Amino acid sequence: MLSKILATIALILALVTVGAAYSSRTAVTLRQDQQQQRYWPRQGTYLNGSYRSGTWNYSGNRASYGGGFFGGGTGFGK
Amino acid sequence: MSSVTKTTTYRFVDWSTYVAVFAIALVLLAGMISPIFQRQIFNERLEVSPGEVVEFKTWELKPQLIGAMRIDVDASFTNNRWTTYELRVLDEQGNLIVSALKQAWVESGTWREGGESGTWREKDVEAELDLQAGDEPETITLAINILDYTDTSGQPVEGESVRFHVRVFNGAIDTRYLIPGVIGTGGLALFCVLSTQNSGQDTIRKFMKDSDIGGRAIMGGDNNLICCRLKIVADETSPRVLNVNLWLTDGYGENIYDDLKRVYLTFHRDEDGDIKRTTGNFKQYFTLKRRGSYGFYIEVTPDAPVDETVLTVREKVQTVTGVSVVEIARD
Repeated sequence: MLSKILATIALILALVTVGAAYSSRTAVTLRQDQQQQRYWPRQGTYLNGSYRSGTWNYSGNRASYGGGFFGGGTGFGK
Repeated sequence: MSSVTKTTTYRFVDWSTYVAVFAIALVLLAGMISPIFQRQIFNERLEVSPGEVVEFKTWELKPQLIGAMRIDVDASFTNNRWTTYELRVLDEQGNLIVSALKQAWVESGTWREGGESGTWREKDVEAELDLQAGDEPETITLAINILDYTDTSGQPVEGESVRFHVRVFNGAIDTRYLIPGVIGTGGLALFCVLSTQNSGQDTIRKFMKDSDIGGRAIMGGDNNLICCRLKIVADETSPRVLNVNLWLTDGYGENIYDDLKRVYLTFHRDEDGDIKRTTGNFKQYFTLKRRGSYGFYIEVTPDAPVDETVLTVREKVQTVTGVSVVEIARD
């Protein structure tokens, strides 16, 4: 009995992950609000703004993640 | 009359494990065929100066079932610089509809540790953005903009430009979901196997510090697989092979089955390489058509080296693969 439940869960898991991967739910959907919950940044590329009633609300020219950009490497926090 | 048949059966195989393995295969297959859907629609190198917005591709983005449009950017610039660059998506009227930032950097230096030294070079320069259309097709223009370009102390640098290698694909799939998919289904398949191996109920469980062991219990019936297991522990004088003689008796004490099997022993050594003990395992599957009282008796020969035997008989057992079974039908 237990093994049947586990196998069913495995099958559902497989279908859910394949479906999520192929449907590109992590992509930015144009003109759609509620973006932040589904977007999964690739290669550290973050959204600069969000949709409000279908128009893009630009966050501005300054990248302000935690008080300014300090770069990477050993110069971090200088 | 009683009939004794030796055969191989798949009737008691628990197919759950194979369903779970099929689930693993689905995820792996999905990952392997994902490149088929990808089409490259742009592949060029651009040069952009800080503060300059460069448009590079106009495309009609249609709603599609599989995949998204992926913009893949690899920046290269002078050593020891930090930059923030922006990927912009504009609509037909030139309004900004998506903006995504990447904070990229290239740094190098020297290191010195315990008398050795060398140089290091690290970077994080790639950006990727996946886009998909909303409900309607839309003509979009893609552009790159550099917001900041500084040296490692945060001072803006003039006169240098950044080279971008930009590729745009259609039908790109987010394969990152497949990794937890494989791990999850793999783990569940493993649990399925363990669950099947532990299936069934104990009917006889006896432990003897002797080579002769036996027990009696009520078991059997239609569609009921019985597994008889004997674990033998012998001392270091034991030969390589022991003989296990198994008798099965019915409710009246009459012998209905008798077999002799050879069991090969595993020798366990301690740290000095001396044999400290040997173990052997015997397993036989049965189906007993009529439910009733059955007795299992085992003698292990030669008996002198045998220290312990453990007899376990379980019923309602399921198997992972097909097994050889002794089918006993008694009127």
